[in-house]
Amino acid sequence: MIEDALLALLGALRDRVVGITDTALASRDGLIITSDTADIDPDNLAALAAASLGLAQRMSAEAGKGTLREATTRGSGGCVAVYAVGTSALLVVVGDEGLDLGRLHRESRPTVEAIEVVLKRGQSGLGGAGMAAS
Amino acid sequence: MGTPRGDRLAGEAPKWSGMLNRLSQVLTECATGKVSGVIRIAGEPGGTVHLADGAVVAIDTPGAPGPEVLLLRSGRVPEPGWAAAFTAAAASGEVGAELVRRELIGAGELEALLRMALADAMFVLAAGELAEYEVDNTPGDCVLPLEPAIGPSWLLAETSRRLAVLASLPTPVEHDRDRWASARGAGPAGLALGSGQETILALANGRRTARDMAFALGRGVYAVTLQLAQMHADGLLVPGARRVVPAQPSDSGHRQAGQDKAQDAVKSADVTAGEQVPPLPRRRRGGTAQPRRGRPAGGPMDRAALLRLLRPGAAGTDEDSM
Repeated sequence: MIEDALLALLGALRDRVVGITDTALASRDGLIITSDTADIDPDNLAALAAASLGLAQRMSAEAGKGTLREATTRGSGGCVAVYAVGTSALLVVVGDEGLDLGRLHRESRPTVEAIEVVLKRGQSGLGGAGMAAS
Repeated sequence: MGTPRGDRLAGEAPKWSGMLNRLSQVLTECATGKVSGVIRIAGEPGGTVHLADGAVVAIDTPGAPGPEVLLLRSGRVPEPGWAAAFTAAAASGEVGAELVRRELIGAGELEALLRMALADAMFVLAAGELAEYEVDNTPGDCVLPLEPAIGPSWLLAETSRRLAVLASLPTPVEHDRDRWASARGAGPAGLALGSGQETILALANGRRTARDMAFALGRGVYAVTLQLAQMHADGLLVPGARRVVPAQPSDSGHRQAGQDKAQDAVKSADVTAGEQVPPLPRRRRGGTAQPRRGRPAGGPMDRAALLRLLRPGAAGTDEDSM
């Protein structure tokens, strides 16, 4: 159920912003939660995204630039943007050369918030089970 | 292919005419006013029209590949050659002249390509939706401007022709909505040699629209759309999930509408009492990451190296959350 909701949010983002080719949701320590990818390996993508987000946050702090908004990587064939989702997860968006990054950064905000809501609901269901287990 | 030009039911305006009329109006006003600057169009796909003395010099839009993508993705100009020309032209800003000087492309061919890119971009703008636009008299950055610039009338006439052709196809294709997958049994045997059908089939993974394939191939969206329509009619392609895009009244309205479908899914994911919810995956110190969904471990990345990179205190997160 949770995964369906997350996939629906990822799919809606890809529909809404032209140029997005793949998306993935991962934990902050680099493990994939769910993905909407074609040829990209989600496990590798998740691990690299976590590393790049962590680095970017430290860079932003070091350079005195406040809270990191997104970590973006631009290549000759397109780009990758990584957004923090709360404190425990991250969203990766891969796009082709036509992807309008400014528009993506605006459009991803509501998606990030909605993902946070879904994840929080999932975790509040977990609380009881976790305590009982330990 | 399609019905003869101008063949249309008497008194029936084609459905694209509204958008084309609006574009025509704006461009004509700018031509009369000899505007040098940009028209910023917010919409789907939206874009930026670059003008010099009222004539069109370039159009940037997420909806169609620009000249750089057309040159590089098609392999017409190799990446290192482009990079060198781009760097060398940094001072003058004249990348086109530099490409020609380095004999990476002929002047005539470059001009033809720039015209084609302009026509393609205008086509996707006219086939799309406009939420609002603004005219800015500050010239924008333009890597490969068309020189001499062209007046809007040829562009608009060509766009009108293309829209009419697409509308008259027996099996219409929406270049930015329909996604395509290869039909079962569509193999190399039945394909037309040299037509590029194999590359299209290779790209048809159910996720790509004509626009997406155009970017991947470095070809025009209109041309790819025509080819997809033909391949669909020939039974080589089947439609995948259609792209769902909310209407464009305003930005805030747009976001609202786009979230509806997703919000329904969010609501349906309410955790009921007693339902076991798998925890977020957590990396355990010294443990190995389990590949999700049985994907083969490894691949081109050295997984062990990645794990070392992510250990706290290396280059990873600031704190262990939760």
